[in-house]
Amino acid sequence: MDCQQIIDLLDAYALGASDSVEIDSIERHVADCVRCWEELSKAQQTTALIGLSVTIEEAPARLEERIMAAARREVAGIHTAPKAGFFQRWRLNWGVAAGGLAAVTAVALFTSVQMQNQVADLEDENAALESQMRTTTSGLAQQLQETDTQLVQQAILFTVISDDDTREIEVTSDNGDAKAVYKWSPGSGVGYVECDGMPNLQPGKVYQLWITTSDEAVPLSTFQTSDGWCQVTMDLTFLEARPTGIGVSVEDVPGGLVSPAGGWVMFARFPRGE
Amino acid sequence: MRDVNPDEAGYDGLDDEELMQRLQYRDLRAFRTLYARYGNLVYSTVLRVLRDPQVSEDMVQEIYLRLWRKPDSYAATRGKFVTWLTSVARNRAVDEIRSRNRRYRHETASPEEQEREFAGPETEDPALRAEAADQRRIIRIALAALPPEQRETIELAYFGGLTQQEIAERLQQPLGTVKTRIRLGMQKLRAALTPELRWETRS
Repeated sequence: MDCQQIIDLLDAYALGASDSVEIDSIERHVADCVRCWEELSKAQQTTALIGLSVTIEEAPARLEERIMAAARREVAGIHTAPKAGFFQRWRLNWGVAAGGLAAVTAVALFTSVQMQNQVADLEDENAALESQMRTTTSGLAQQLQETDTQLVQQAILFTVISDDDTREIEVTSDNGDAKAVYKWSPGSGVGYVECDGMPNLQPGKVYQLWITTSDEAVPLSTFQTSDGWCQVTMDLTFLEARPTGIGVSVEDVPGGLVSPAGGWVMFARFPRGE
Repeated sequence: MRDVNPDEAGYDGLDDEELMQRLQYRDLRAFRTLYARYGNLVYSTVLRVLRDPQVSEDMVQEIYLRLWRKPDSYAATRGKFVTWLTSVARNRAVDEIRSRNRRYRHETASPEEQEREFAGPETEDPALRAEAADQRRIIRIALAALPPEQRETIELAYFGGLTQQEIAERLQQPLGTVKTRIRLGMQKLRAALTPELRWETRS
């Protein structure tokens, strides 16, 4: 087929309406023909716009909460199915971990059981709320969101506290008034920061956590404090590069994306090997 | 710690690409904002193809969770986010009806239903950003301006997932007629949407 014959077929191809013989001819031709490849791009762009013409139907209100609950559960479940990243490469040997766990102290065990119960209670509460959501109201949706968020945070806290290989590092502001401790589970890639003595913020400002690597500062959660205190959970399983430090900055709402705008309120570099 | 709610945090002011960047860092508020913005559009696209509310709900969940797990599957060089997302939704829905051995085929919209699609002003989704709503209006006007038989043929291909041969059988028209309708209709659409296509390419 020549170029004009192929061009005549491209709109149907872009719509997915060609037969297999035409598909084969088009794909072989555009692989070697820049002009027809460009025409195909135009046909595909026109086709893509057709989707926007659809008459809008309102999605059921429960669908949003179903999707958000599933996303939050994935965040909470990262310690059992982490993504391939820095922390997966550094995961604990589970045999060694099991041996270590057997040796945890009674106090740690008690704490773990308490945390487990809290997580179970929250899961029950979450399930009950989810069932009520079938007859959804905006008030219930809000409760479910808050419960789910708590569930994620509790799951991360539980993971860190129950890990016998938990590490920690202290982070202090320049004047020494504000202090934070970052605790994390190297095998799971999750951790949390507890801070104290943080100054109150002006309206329109938030604190933001960052993890640095050798190449960049990676933005994490934004948060506000209560009487100078905070507890912020973190999921770092997406990190591909080795983390080099952790810091807190003050940003304009909703938080920064590239680098701390006003420098560090506090920052600490990880010891080598962490 | 007190959570910052999406409105308070100013997420509504962020554009789609900025929200997608935040998804890389598992930002649930950015994810919720993207659902609030396009959930109805994605649902409507899938429902238009599948014509089954329950299956459509499951598919919208699947599409959004795929976005959540793999935000880097979208690249700004592919055009506007909303156009890319609706294409993903349509393609996934069409794959579904094809994989189900065309069980849904008899349920594709009738010509009368398709005619009603463009018969009068539509209530716009208030969650859509102004630029996306404007773009939708222009595209709907361009489609409505096509001769009905060309529009019907294009929609049977796009939303019905039918091949030209299947459209010919369904409409009881010669295959050559169907091919001509698609070619002429798409040429007119392309001409009418040239500014929109430039906008897509520029992004």
